[in-house]
Amino acid sequence: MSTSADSEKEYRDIRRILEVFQICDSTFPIGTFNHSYGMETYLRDGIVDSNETFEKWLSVYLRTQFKWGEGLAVKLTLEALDNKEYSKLWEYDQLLTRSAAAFETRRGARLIAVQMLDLLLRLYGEDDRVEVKLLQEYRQRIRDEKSFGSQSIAFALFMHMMGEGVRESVCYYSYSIVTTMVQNAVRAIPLGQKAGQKILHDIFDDIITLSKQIEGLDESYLGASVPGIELAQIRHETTVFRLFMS
Amino acid sequence: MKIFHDKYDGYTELSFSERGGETVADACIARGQARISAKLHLNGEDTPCYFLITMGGGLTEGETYETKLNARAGTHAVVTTQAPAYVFKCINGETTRSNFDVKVGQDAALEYLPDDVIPYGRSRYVQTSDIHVAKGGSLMYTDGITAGWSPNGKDFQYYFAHMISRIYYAGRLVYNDNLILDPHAYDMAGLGLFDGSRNYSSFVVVDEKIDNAFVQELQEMGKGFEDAVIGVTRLEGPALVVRVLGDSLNGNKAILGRYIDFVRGKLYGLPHLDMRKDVSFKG
Repeated sequence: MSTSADSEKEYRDIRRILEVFQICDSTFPIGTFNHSYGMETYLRDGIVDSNETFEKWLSVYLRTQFKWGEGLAVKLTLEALDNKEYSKLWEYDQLLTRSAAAFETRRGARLIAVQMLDLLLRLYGEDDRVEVKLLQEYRQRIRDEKSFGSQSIAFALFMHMMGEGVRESVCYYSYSIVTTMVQNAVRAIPLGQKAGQKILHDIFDDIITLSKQIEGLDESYLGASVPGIELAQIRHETTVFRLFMS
Repeated sequence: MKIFHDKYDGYTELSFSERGGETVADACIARGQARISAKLHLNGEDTPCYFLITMGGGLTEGETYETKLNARAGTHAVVTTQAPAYVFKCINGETTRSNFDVKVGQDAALEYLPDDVIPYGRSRYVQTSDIHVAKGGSLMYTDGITAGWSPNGKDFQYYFAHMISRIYYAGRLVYNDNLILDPHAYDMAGLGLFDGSRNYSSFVVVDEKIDNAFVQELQEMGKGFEDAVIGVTRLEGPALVVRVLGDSLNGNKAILGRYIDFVRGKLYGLPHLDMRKDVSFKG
């Protein structure tokens, strides 16, 4: 029989998990459905055109640009928060943005970050925790053009507030990105909804491996990329027929 | 082999200053395995051109090279290399390193156009470039890496190559170009990496005159080439980058050459740049 203290803790744990679900859901309206992260260029070139080729692209994207970029930014942000080195957040924002060659990628990241911050502040803005203050500061810095905006940094602030660690946060963030990408692929390629769920399910092992690798990376990797992924993002800018903004 | 009291296996320092309207080299130092060519005036231009040379034809395991270039206020120079940077095999677990420290002063222009990096099978290579362009300065910078060379004729046989270029304009980071190539962990020829190509080239231009119209002109040019994948985009600041993935080193060189000529014509009012390079070598 549980005491009232136990049930209080149980309530808070479940509530916290539900709150994390909400932020990671592909329907969380921050506009990620507008961005393909360069996948659309491969789609137009006829290179990504099936379950297999989409899964291949997704896996490479996760294991390269995502790992060294947004994935690592989640880890670094959490560590900076643990150490109360808050100015590092703004350094990571600059470094991450200025590592992205493609103009559209930088602009897309900013649009998503602003919507993410607006929504998080709508849900948690009344709270007086330090993470909320930083979310507010981040929002203002973007308005003042002192920061560009990255969804990964906003997400890490939220996860820190929820008390989640690096491994969990990176996995949940990866999940939120992947679930949106799968939905985008279902619409654009198109893939079947069930095939999309199978791809999502199969990529979980990659995500867990990734979170382990990210734990071992330092700032020197932040923003690293590989040629093809990046060139596709650059070329998206001049793609005539397109469904996505980047 | 390191020379006594020298921390580098190859050290190059080349700096330019303006005297009576002309660009002169005020420091031209090469130690260890590094050499600098005599001054050339290509195509009868006033712009001085220097070729950087690595003795022995390449970088051997565990060596560290340091190269400092400085185009002070009001100068204009072309700096290139005599040959690609061949990075020889590293079979004792050591990494070969090359660091570049490049400065461009106010109203100065530096065309820093080195050849590609060609990593041999089983080589490990780390390249770091810190490039500072002062307000009013102008930079053209090429960089590239190939599928490498290996005795078995196979591509991407190197252990890893990590090339990072941090480019600043007026003290602010414009571009952190951080490239990690790890053939043991990735299918290098595959989707997202080299996309079936063997040669990757990059051309960065930093200049106040760069605006969206400038970028669009270069994007239009890209449509004229059929045997390579080309992208042009604007960086954060008065800067742009041209990227090429192509099947041959010479093909990529020819494409970058067209962009270089276009940009130097538009920015400096100068003609076609002919560096008189042998285009027959294989990458």
